[in-house]
Amino acid sequence: MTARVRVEFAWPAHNAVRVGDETYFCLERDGVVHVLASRCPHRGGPLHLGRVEGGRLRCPWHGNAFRLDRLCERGVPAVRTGDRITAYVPAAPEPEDLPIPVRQMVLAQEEPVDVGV
Amino acid sequence: MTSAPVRSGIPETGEWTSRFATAPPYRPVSTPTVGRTPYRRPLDAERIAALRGDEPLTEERTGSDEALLAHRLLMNIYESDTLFLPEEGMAARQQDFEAFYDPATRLAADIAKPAVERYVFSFLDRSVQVTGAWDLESVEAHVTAAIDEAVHAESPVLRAIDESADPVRATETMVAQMALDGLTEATAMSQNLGGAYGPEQSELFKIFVDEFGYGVFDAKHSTLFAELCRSIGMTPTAHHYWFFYLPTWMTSNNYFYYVTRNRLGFFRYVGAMTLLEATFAPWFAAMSRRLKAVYGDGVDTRYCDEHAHIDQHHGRMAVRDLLLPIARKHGPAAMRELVRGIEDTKVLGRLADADLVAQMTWHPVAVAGGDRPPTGAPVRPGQDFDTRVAAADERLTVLSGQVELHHSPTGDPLTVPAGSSVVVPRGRLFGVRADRDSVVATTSSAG
Repeated sequence: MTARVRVEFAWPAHNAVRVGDETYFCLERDGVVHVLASRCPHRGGPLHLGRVEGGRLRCPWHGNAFRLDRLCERGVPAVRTGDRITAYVPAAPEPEDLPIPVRQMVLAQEEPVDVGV
Repeated sequence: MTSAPVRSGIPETGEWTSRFATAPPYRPVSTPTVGRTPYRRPLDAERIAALRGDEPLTEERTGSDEALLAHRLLMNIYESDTLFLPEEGMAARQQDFEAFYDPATRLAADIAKPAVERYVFSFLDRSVQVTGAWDLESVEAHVTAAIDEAVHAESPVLRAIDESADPVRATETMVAQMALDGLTEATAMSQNLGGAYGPEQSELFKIFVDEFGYGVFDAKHSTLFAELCRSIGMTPTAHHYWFFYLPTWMTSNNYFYYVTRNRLGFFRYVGAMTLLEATFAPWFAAMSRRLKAVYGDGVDTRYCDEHAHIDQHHGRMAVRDLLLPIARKHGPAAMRELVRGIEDTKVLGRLADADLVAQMTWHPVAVAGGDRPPTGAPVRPGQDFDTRVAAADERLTVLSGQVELHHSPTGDPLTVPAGSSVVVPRGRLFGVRADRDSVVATTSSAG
């Protein structure tokens, strides 16, 4: 079982969470916000900087494409009510590395989005 | 079946909705409270027919007049499939009994129900989003945090009673809302006692064994609630205060029918029920103290005291013996729905608290003079009574005669004589009645 740690943040003021070396980012799909791991399972590329094409998210490093519905199905357990998101992200190896909500560039969206910080 | 159905605005099943709403049990009455019968629950078929079913309620409109009408309709749809027998026996109520459970009316209810449910509850699909691959650890962490947050939060409703200029009226407005569930034997929450679903069914039954008083009528929680009502001079007949149920409180009660009558809602139901059971104990302990502060030693607080005690156990039982075993056994899809039920409950509770506090803290005042609109509508003695929710701030000006403004289930109504007016704020529930021919103008108000 994955050890998890709870994090709450205001969406869309924050659109990602950092825990240690890992990043989890928010992806809005059909009006529903999912929290997804950014590390590409191929070589660790930043999926939050990937592009959504035909229902797939393409990694910007080597071009691997992953079905969005499956990524969302396997996403981080999360609840959104209003502008508040509560998520249970995998804990970092170092217990002192607590999750930090951040606002960063996220290109992985089904529609073009404003990436300004 | 009675008069020709009025075409309803709720699509797909509008004719059936109207057939149901115009049936004898749902015809209007002329009094602000309903007689001592479980079979009279007035509906305004014309106003229901005007609902825009193609525009489901949003979260912002859960306290609106449309929500009031639709939830009254839906509660009757659900409860016409629930057994009620008159306390005094059937002799004088045979006709009412047969009309209430008339198969043709029941058929109309069953056909109309899905569209009405969509109209009032689809907002939850937007208000609550549960995503990702939940596991047992995240579910347990989430339910624990939700309980912790709820039991440590101050109740805005109890604070409003503390600070009220009229604590008796405020308390009784709250008790009337609680009667939705309290006098109907927790019916909405007990719909899943039947069936066959393993050890968890027995765990659920243990909770309801307490609720139903171990087969001893005097120990049933509904009996204790009725005694509470009697001790403060309120009538303990189900739906006596029909006109003063707030739409958001009916939403919460109907929610449990919604997620239980359709068995696909089972996991959502368990999540919702668990959060309530796990957070009731401190709330009822605080309520018991408020009741004594408001009414003195004469109030019968056993209903609250029993919940303050037994729900400490029910909370633990619901989490440890019901919710978590169900999550473990039925996996991620079930887990997501369990969490959804928890979150639904938080949203519904927040909306109900805000609505009730606003109603409790509204103290209408009649003011003489002011602008006199040229025309108004007649209000005649003995005409059908109803309450509605103000869509905007409204000023009611009595042009002739004298009317009573009813704004709470108990306590005197406000008398508004000719030449005077009263402001009804947006979102407040009220009804108007007259004991002489009167004319009342309704205009928008700047406050």
